This record gives sequence, C-alpha cells and structure tokens, in this order.
Amino acid sequence: MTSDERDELISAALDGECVDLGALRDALSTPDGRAFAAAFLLLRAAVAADSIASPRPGFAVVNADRERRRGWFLLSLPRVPAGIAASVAVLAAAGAFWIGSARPIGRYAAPGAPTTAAATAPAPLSVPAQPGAAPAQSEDDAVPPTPSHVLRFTPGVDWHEGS
Amino acid sequence: MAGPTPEDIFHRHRRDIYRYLVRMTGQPDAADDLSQEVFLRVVRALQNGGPVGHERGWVFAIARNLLRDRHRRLLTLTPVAESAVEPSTGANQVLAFGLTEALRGLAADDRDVFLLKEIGGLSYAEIASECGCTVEAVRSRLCRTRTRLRETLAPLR
Repeated sequence: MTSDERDELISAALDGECVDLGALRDALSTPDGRAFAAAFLLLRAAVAADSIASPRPGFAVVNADRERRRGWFLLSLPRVPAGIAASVAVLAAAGAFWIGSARPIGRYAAPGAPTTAAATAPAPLSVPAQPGAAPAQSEDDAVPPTPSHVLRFTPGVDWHEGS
Repeated sequence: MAGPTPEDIFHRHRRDIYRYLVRMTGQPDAADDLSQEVFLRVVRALQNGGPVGHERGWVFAIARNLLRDRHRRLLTLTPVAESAVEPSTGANQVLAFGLTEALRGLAADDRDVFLLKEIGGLSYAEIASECGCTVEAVRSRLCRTRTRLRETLAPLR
C-alpha cells in the first residue's frame, strides 16, 4: 500500500465511508498512518469550531407566493422578552390611537370660533388594508367630533414675535 | 405522515448552509442573500411536492445551484482573499484565521468538495453526484485537500 492509498483509506474511513477493515488496520498500524488520522481529526475539529459563519439574526423568509399574500415566514427573529414585546405593542397601539384621534387645533372648531396660527397636527397614518378587509373610508366621509374647548393664543399676550 | 415543514428544514440546515455559502463566496452579505434564496426555493419546492431524495443533499444542491448562477452572473469567482470574512473570536483565533487563508489557497473545486463534506456532511456519493465526478475522484480529492490544509496549518499549531 502506498502512502497515498493509506491516507485515502484512513480519510474515507473517518468520513464514514465503507472501507476494508483489514486494510484500515494495516494503515493505522504505521506511525505515519496514525499521524495522518490525528491531523485529520484536528482539521475537522478546527472547521467545526470555526464560528465565523453564524447566520445573523433577523433572518426572515418571505412566503414565495406573493400574489396570494400569505404573509411573512419569520423563521428566525431576535429573541425579545415577552414583557418588553407586550409593552412595545401596547405603546404602539396607544400611539396609533392618539395619532388617529388627534385633530389639528382649530381645524374642527365650532362655527364662528376663531382659527389660530398654531401648527396643525399631522394627518392620521394610513394603515395598509389586510387581505379581505373592507376598504378604508376617506377623510371626506369622517364626521369630526364636537370640540370640547377652544384654545386661543393672543399675540403679545400669549406669544411674542421672535420668542 | 406529514413531510417536513419549511421551519423544520430551516432550523436543521440554516447554519451549515450559511457556513458553506460564506466560505464559498467569502462574503457574509452575499451568503445572507443566497441563504435566504435557498430557503425561498425550499418553500416553493415543498409547495410542489417536497424534497427530492435525501433532504440535506437536496438543500445543499439548491445552494450549489444558486452559487453557480451567481458565478455566472458575476462572470468570475469571488476570491476568498477579497472577502470580508473575519476570523472567529476565541482562543483559536490564529488557527481560525489560518483556516481562512488556507481555504483561500485551494482551488475552487477542491474547496467546494471539502466544504460539502466538512460542513454539508454529504456522503461521497452525494458529493460525486453534485460535482459531476466519480466517488473515487471525491475520495482522492478530499484526501489531497486535507493533506494540503494540514501542511498549511501545521506552523500555526
């Protein structure tokens, strides 16, 4: 058996391939054969221990059937404690409610009430419709709520130029 | 009995698929993109009937096909030398860096066969089928590659 044949036999055996056991015994009976086997195992351990390639978090796979919009396959997410996730969800819902219900100052003032120069609140965020959901109503259809009070800022009293 | 779900396949193979792709491309970002594409194709294939043959070999075959397509698109193999691959941290950082350099020095085909075995865990027959060569060729190529890596890494031990 040549040295190449010996090393190939040991390599195949350690790879889990079927080999002739007698030939393997002969190969491992030599110092060079045992040295090759040891080096093989060290190399395998080095590759296995190589942590270079851990997939990064936030790995997500979108369902391939985009037309039917089945949604996201979130196959891997960063681990977030349930309490924090719940708190974020509650705050997000409260914020969305506030944004949706807020009205610019003076925009829906009672008839005859003075309008002001105060900045208007941003328009409510539009939420993409869920599949099968009814279409959202337009702003023209919305009935503004009756104002509970009117804020008046008198120039020179409540605010000054350049302040 | 129901076949494997995409989640099952993902959790079983995602780490090794990513490791294989990052070693083959030398670019973690490219490996990320390719990994996502691998499992997208897994999802589509499962919708059409499921894996063909051995699951792990099938998933790695998808990865290799994507690599081939990528290489065709780029018209050149991306040498690992230009990669953003960083050595792992820890006690064996020197050896890990040496492994990166040693893999870089291999021919692409040798590196492919070696990684399919060491990371993919594919059998010689599966590697031969994937690479379009004989089992004997896989056997000798692996042995030759290991000998070369051993010589390259010996000074680092």
